[in-house]
Amino acid sequence: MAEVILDNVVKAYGDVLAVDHVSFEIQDGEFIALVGPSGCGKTTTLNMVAGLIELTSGTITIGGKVVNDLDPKDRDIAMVFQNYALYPSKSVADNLAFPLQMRKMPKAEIEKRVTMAAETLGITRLLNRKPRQLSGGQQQRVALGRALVRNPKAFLMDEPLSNLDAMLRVQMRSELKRLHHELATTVIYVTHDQMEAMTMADRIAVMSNGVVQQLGAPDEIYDRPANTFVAGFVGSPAMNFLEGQVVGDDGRVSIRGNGWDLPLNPANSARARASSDGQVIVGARHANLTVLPESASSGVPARIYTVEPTGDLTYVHLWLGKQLVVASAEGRYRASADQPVRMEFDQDRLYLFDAASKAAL
Amino acid sequence: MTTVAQAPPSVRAAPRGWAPPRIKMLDVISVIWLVLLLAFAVIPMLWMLSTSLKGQFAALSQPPEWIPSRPTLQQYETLLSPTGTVGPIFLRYFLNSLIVSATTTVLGVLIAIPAAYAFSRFHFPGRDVLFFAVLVRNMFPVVVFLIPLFILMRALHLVNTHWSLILTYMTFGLPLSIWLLKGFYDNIPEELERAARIDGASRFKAFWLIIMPLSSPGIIATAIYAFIGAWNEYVYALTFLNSENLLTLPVGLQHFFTEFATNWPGLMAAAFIMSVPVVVMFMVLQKQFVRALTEGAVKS
Repeated sequence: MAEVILDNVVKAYGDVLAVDHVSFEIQDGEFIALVGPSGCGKTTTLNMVAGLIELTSGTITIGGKVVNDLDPKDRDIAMVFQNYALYPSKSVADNLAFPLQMRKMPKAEIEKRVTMAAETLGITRLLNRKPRQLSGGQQQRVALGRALVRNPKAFLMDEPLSNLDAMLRVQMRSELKRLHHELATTVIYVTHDQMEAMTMADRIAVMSNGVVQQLGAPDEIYDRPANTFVAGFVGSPAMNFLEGQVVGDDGRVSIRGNGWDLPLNPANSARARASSDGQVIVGARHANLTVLPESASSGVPARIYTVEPTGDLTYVHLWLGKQLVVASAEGRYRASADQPVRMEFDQDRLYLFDAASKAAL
Repeated sequence: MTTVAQAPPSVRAAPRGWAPPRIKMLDVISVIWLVLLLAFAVIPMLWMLSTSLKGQFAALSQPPEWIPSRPTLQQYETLLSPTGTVGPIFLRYFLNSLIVSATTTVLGVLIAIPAAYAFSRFHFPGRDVLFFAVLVRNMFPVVVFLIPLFILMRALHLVNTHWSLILTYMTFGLPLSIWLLKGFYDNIPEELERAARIDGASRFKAFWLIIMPLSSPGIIATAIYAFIGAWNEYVYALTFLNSENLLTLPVGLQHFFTEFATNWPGLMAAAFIMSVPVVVMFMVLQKQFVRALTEGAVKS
């Protein structure tokens, strides 16, 4: 167990910076998720921590020791791959034993640890099988087992759940989280799935274009996104963005967009006035938009586009001027297409971004 | 009382959709073609075996005896007895062939494995050009290189040594070996090595412990191919070697029987013995050979 520190880590391929001056500290025992769309540099970052890719510049420290020039085998880390990378010619037991054999551990100790890992993961009866005789979920468990047999300083996980079907993914998600709780080992977890990051991680690093856009606890990322990228990436359905102009005098500011007008409360007015050139992007999550009948006295006029019942929630897609937004209503809410309604913004949970810099206001 | 509707027995008795098996024209043609090919390949072998078991006169009788009336193993005894006039010479040739072919095979495989692995795994400047250059050799008939290589071997003082043949055969065998093995390595996911390296193996150990076992069918196929090429080669062996005691079987046999008059049963027995190592190798390793050829060719 150890803390992992990345300091100004850069990976360049020719002129392209795949990872652009990434710095963060991972506390001992912390579960951190690197999340972002494909090509954002999250896997490259993980591979540099593992020692599979060389750094262009910067330093990586594991447990107080700079590991830049250390071979993967000497970094004392374990890794779980998306395709599991089980050794096809070895049995499950031999797969689990391999990292221990490489470290010249006594046979009895190897046997003890393999048995323990197999019990922890519920794969004891599979020990004599070959990887190709296992289902995807079972292979996944073996891959996890191979990582946890030897108490490494840190677990690196590269999209470990991506090849599983939806049901199993949700189940393994909670199992992994529980496992981390029991082992309390540092975990760096790479995923493109913001849901996995939100549900499992102590802290999340949202990456895009090789840059860490924001690093923080899931609630912080969700409640106070640093910019429109983070705001749009986290949460499902994605946050609604509406671009508009700040209008009005000092006291009562409103935002005027293409076919809509949103008066702001005093707190939000102050934020909006901080924008660089009077152009702002309003962000609102579906849960913070309320659909009201046309006769209501508050809210902005809108028109129903379509209604999607999902059981416990109904997603309501609306025209706000010339732009579509998604709101949610209680599960039994119904409305017909093109029906005029009013939509109310929860002013306490309104996000405002500068239109030029995309940064939060 | 159940009232589940049941089909009348008459309907159930007749298997549904039964029709007389249709013989497709294409199948018939395929079978005939395969039988012809088989005959083309096997009849000379059988004829060789049959002749090798005859006496000198029976071999020349008209009409020919398809099956020897009085089979004898005398020719085999003569060839394989370490005493006598013919035996020691024949066994010398056999041993020479074995030395040249085995050395070619072992060295060829030892070079092809790292070369193919490097072509498959590492990105270095000029990789594609180099790989193409390796394959270019295969575009020319081997005889084209006879004179240049002879001059080269003379300059290296290797003419009339086994090394001249070993080096030449390796040159000819390596392109296909490398190509075949590269296809194999391409199909092995890189994550396996990465996992092994993280699990505590050095780069070499990851290759040795994880990748090598997975590529063994490819290595076996490569070895068979190199061995057969070296074992059967005639033109270079004829050109590069002069000393009687260095000759390999294909050249040796020819010398042998022009000198001792044309002894057909003896020649056939020698040819049959010569084919044994290759046939045995094929029979033992056939499965791996086929797997290697198809797996290398088809991307998963």
